[in-house]
Amino acid sequence: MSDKKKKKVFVIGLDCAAPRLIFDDFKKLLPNISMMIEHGVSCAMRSSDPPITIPAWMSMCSGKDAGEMGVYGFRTRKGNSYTDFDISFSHAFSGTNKIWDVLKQNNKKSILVSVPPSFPPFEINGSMISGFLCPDQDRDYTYPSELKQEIEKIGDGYDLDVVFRTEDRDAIKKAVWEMTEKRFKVIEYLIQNKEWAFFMFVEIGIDRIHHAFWKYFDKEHFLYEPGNTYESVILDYYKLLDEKIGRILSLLDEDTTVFAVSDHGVKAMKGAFCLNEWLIEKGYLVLNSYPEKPVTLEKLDVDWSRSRAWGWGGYDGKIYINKKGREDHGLVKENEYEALRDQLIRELTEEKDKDGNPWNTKIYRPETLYRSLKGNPPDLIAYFDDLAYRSAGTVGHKSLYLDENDTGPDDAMHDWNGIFIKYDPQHKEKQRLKGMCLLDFMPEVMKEFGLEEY
Amino acid sequence: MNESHKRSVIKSVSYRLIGSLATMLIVFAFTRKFALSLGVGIFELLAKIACFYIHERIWSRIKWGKLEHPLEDLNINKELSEEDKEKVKSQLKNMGYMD
Repeated sequence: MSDKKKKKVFVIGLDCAAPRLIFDDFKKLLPNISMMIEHGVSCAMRSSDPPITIPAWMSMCSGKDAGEMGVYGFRTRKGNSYTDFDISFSHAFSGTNKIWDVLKQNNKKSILVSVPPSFPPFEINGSMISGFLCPDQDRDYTYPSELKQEIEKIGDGYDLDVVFRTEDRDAIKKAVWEMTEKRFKVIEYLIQNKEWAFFMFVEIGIDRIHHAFWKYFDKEHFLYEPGNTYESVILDYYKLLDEKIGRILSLLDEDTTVFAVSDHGVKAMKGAFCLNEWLIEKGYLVLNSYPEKPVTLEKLDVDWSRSRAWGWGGYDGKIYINKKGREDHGLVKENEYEALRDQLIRELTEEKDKDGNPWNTKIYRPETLYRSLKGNPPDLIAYFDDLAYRSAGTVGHKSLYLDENDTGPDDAMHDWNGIFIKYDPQHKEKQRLKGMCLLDFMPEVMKEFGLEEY
Repeated sequence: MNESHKRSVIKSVSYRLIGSLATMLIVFAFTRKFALSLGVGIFELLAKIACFYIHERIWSRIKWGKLEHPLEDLNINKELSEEDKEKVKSQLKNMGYMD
């Protein structure tokens, strides 16, 4: 126990880092990450439901699932509104005890760098820098607020995110490289100049690089062209990160246990399934008029008094039922509710792709995914063809299928598994584990501090 | 701090009205002089309203023993405006996190 009291923990967060690339395809080309794998504990780590940045990182840092936190994605339905929602800013997780909250109670200092969602910045026992939910960089995005000036001087500015949904791939590449260079300058500075027992950063660059360049890299992507100009961009970026991680490892002492983790993986996007178009076609969602061009649900002319269900788009599909006594114009009675959910599950899982090929679609009742249900959960959660297809909530496409994302250029979808690597310089031993999920992460960190009973 | 200055003032006044009424009755019970009882009561009323207000504002700055709201620790320089929220929604739509 006494040596655990001295322990420090450093967490390398790599948003979207894929097990296939880290543990297999790129392993020999990434000497520093390979060293951690060869001398540490590693495994694929099952993501959250849904496998998205929010709520995944907070699930990891709190050991709580989305239902327990009452946050089901980037947006949370506002009350029983048909269209209004709140963005899941850092406030949404304030009632959840996270690693740094427990460490604060034990007088240990933490440093957080861009762990999603961390805007608005919040007070911790230490320092923190917000992430990409910050609307623009003129805001205060650090705690304490003076830290902003300090890090912008060190990093020659600090980039919270990049514009990555554009066809100008060269611009994306340049911006991601610059963002990462700046972030790691700041990280190295904070490691050496601030007091900390727990340090965690999340580099969002991998996620952005995957979404922008996956079709140029993945030979299984339907748009892949051999020998294309951008074929090596993803590998080059992983190499850049490995070099930066090597520098970080050289700054850490023997008392520091290092974790490298990701919140979800990546796979090729095959297209998008228009969930609301499907609900309209089947008669579950009734419109007063069909739009001339694609519009979002908020702008759709819906006859709510005749609609039984509607959906939200994203990496997953969220389906809401217009329930009597709950929604303003609810018409599905309590005794019809389960039968309707059964019917939607049955019909949606029978859906095939546009060429008639079967899908591996999974539709879940939230109460079967989560240990409890706080807030406003959807009535059903859908993963079309096991996440190969996005859910498109927009209407006006006159089709159930889209080859591209309905919200802009995108090559990749999220996959179920992220990575977990634990490297303790004092206990170098190779071990491959199985069956870990990101809810197991917080307990692993707490063990390092001798705080198993947090 | 979750109590407005106005609320603290109104509470001070209502408390002092009851307190001063009690003081006037006690002075009258001992002296049987109505004017003296009224004078002591009015003077005490004004002096103690000021004392209570100052006392209340000092205590409201002391965090010890106070139950904190879960959001109290948030270091928000200003409330997120509707414009900010729309900006973030638009960013999230562009990123593909939602439609």
